[in-house]
Order: sequence, then C-alpha cells, then structure tokens
Amino acid sequence: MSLTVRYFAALRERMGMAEETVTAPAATGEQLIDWLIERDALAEILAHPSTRIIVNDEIVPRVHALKAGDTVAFCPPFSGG
Amino acid sequence: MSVTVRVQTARFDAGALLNALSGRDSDCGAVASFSGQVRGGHGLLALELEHYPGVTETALERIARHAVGRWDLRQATIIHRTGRMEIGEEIVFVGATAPHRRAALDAVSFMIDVLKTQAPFWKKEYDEQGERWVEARASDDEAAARWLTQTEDMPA
Repeated sequence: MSLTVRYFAALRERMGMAEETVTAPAATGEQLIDWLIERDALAEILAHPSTRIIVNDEIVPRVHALKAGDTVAFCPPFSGG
Repeated sequence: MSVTVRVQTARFDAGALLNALSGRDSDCGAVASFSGQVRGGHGLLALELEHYPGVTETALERIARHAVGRWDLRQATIIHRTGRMEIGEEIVFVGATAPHRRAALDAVSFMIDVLKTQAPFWKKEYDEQGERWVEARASDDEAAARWLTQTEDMPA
C-alpha cells in the first residue's frame, strides 16, 4: 500500500530527504522500518529505540496498524521548550 | 475560558503576553507564566528549532486544553518559536490564569514540562566547532512523567 513517509531533524539529515512516497507491504510501523532497512541499510537508524513514530497527527507505538494513505513520520526524541 | 497556541518564527514580547493575560477575568486571583530563552555558554553561537508543522500546533493545543480542564483555568497560552535564534532570545512562553495561585503555577509547570516531551520540536546548536542536534534529556522525561502519572494521563 502507498504511504507518505517523513523524516525529521537528525533523521532527515541521515536519510538525506524530508519526505517520500513508498509502496510497501507494511502492516505496522515496525514492518515499515524493516522494509526501509531492506531497501537501504542506511535506514537502520530508524530502528533505534528512541525513534518516535507519528502516524497522521498521533504519536503511536511501533505496532500501530497502518492503512493506505497514512503519513508516517519518523522523529528523533523531541527537544523543544 | 480560552486557549491560545501559536508557533512562529517572529520574536515575541513575553512582557506583553503576560500583560495580555492580566486583569481580564474578574474571578482570577492568579496569573503565572514561564519564559524560556536561549542559554549561552560552551561556545554556543545560536540555536535553530525545527518542528512538524500542523502536528506541533495540535500537540500544543491538546496540552493547553488538558491543563485548562485539569486545573480549572480561565486562560492558557503557549507560544513557541522556530527557526534561528541568538543567545538571550526568547524561545517559548507559557502562561495561565486561575482563581488561585497553586492551579496557575502547577498548570504552567505542567505545560512546559509536557511540551518538552510531547510536542515535535528539535533543537540544533551552532558553535565554533560546527552544528549538532540537541539530545533529549532523561531529566525532561522524568519531569513530564511526574505530571502524567498523577491522577490522569494526557489523552493520546
């Protein structure tokens, strides 16, 4: 299914892009990470336990079920304020 | 009750924001606020803040609304800047008004503590050696957890 994938801050710089559209057989955030790593080992950084996932506008656990058209954002730990 | 949330690159006047909260609600005995600014030292030259447009505003609004409900506030304000900032410049303003001081003070602490771990902002530091992303601190997680494990959790 088609997903919009976004990368922020340090992850954006490491991935070398801010956003992409992928067609991946990924039922969860975890499976999407696996698929991205298989495509390019560079994505291993996404598997770090500190990486947070925002689907649409909700922070979700990695096992959160994805559906076609979702926007999945990979975020390093937040450091605002 | 009213909630004001803004994410902006423009500078703001924390004094003016505080004045705007003061004297508006006749049943309020307390106005509390927190202003965060760029801390110098260790060769720091400037900060740059990135955020997730749209999602950040939603997160801040949720935090402010939660504070209003939990502490019976009359007003809650969160203003956060993004982009490049020099040492001493304001980064964030959080304010609350309530009938009594404990509610206003606790609500302000809650909003700034929870904002640090629940709103998608990222800081990058620039110094003479170059640039580096600021890592989240365990102490920030603990400060937020103190509020989120009391009585009720933030709705997801």
